[in-house]
Amino acid sequence: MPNGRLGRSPNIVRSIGLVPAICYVVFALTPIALLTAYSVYAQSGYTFKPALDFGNYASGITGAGDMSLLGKTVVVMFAAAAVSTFIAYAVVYCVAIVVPRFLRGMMMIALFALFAGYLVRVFAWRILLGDEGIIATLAGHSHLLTAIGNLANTRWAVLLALVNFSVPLCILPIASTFSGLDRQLLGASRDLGAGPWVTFRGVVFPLTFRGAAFAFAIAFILCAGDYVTPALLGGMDGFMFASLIAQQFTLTFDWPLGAVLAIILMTTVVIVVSTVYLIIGTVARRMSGASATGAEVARRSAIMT
Amino acid sequence: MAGRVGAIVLIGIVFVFLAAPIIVVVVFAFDSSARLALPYSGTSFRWFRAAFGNPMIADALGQSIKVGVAVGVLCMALGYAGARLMLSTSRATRILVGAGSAPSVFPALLIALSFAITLRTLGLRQGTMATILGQTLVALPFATVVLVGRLRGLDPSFAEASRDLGASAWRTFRLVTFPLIRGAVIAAGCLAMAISLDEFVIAFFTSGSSPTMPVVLWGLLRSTIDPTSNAVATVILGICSTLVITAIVQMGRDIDRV
Repeated sequence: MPNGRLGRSPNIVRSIGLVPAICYVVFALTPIALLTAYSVYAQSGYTFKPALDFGNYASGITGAGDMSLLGKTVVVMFAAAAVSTFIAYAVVYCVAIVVPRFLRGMMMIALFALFAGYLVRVFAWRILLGDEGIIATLAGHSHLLTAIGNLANTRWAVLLALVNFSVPLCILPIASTFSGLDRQLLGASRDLGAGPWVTFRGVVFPLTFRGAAFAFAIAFILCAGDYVTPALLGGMDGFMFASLIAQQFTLTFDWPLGAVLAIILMTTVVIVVSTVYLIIGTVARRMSGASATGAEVARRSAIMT
Repeated sequence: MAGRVGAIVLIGIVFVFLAAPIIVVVVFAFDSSARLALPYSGTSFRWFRAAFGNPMIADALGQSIKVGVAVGVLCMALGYAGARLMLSTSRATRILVGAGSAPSVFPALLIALSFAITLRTLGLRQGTMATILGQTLVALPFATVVLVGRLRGLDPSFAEASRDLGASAWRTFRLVTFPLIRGAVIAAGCLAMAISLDEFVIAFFTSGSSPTMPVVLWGLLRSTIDPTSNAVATVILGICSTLVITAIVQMGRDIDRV
């Protein structure tokens, strides 16, 4: 039977094509929809009844210390995501400038690191940190290493492990924008007399900031929702908002409150990520606009040569 | 020149920082001493023997492989369907499937809790089935992305020629399309299986009385500081890295073939 291959499908065929797409969405989004529904459920004992109980939100927001815990979580996770993005960006930049042929290989290593051993890599820091940890043993007279070794059971240990886990995640989008970067532009900028910093500011950063912003967003989302690292490495000091959410489901058995807290966390994450996108975009535009030897000049001369 | 050396030193430091945790876990799995501290006191397999002599851990390995294979197969089939939908000519379909990929950017905890609520609402029990479905939810977007990348580069005229010569849709898929995308399908399956084997959060909330390896490892980490957990971790790492390397190799293979 001839179908739409030779032209546009008739409407009825296209509508049938929607059915599997709708199934896909239902499968993927039902759980999130139910989580939202649960946030207004009423709780009595160990059962939850459908209701429109916005009191859950009130108790989530006014709950003892909830908001200050949220603030602490945002600060620590923001730092983790920012440091990871910075390290990943610096490494990718070095590779792209010094050994550009290694860029693809580095993406493979990052991909490999991403899918191998999440729990394993968190737990490794328990062996590395602490009084009898590897770092303390190796530190000798190095004050820096001694200080790192002493981080066990603090929020700093959480930060360290999360940075360690997020760097490969950040390398992937950044390396992919760098591999799309036209190398002629760099040569053109140099031929026009621009030093490395001017080239970076005027050409490289404006063309790669999107990768960095995306890397930050992914890392921040991942870190903000992580409760495994705080539980294994953080001790009392490292208790985070996600740990509080997990507690509602495993310990206190107040699922509606847990759902409310999860929604509060996601809303906060979305606000932070959109703000960062706005700021990085503005900075990138300023930087490229401010330098006369910037992208435009380099691009023009690249076209001419 | 100084800049070049500085750049290479920086690259080196970051790679050491990234590799350190994995190296430490693997090295201490083979250390014969019961203390997780330096100095290294000689190589032995006693912690692997201790781990797999424990029926709880051996069962978990079996369970992990069972769940992983199921998730891999499901993700190959659903990922192919999802990829076809994503490349569909209908705008509405593409938007819907795009919306369906949203969970891949949600924190795992959120997906796990949502899924636990879903199970409760539908009246399903925790167990193997629940773990398979939950992990499919997380792994599917990755499998779909791999297959979309491959299908996008595929010349549609092969399949069209096959259909015009009178082959059925299934025959066309079996003899023309599938051989051209075999590597990507295998890669998607391996990647999904690796994600499943390594996945902890969903499994923690869904596996109930039949835990997978990471859930058992979590238990060991909470209760003891003992190199047995390093042996378990090393086994997880070994299986996952084999799968990921296979996926990377297979992804490159299709491109060479055409």
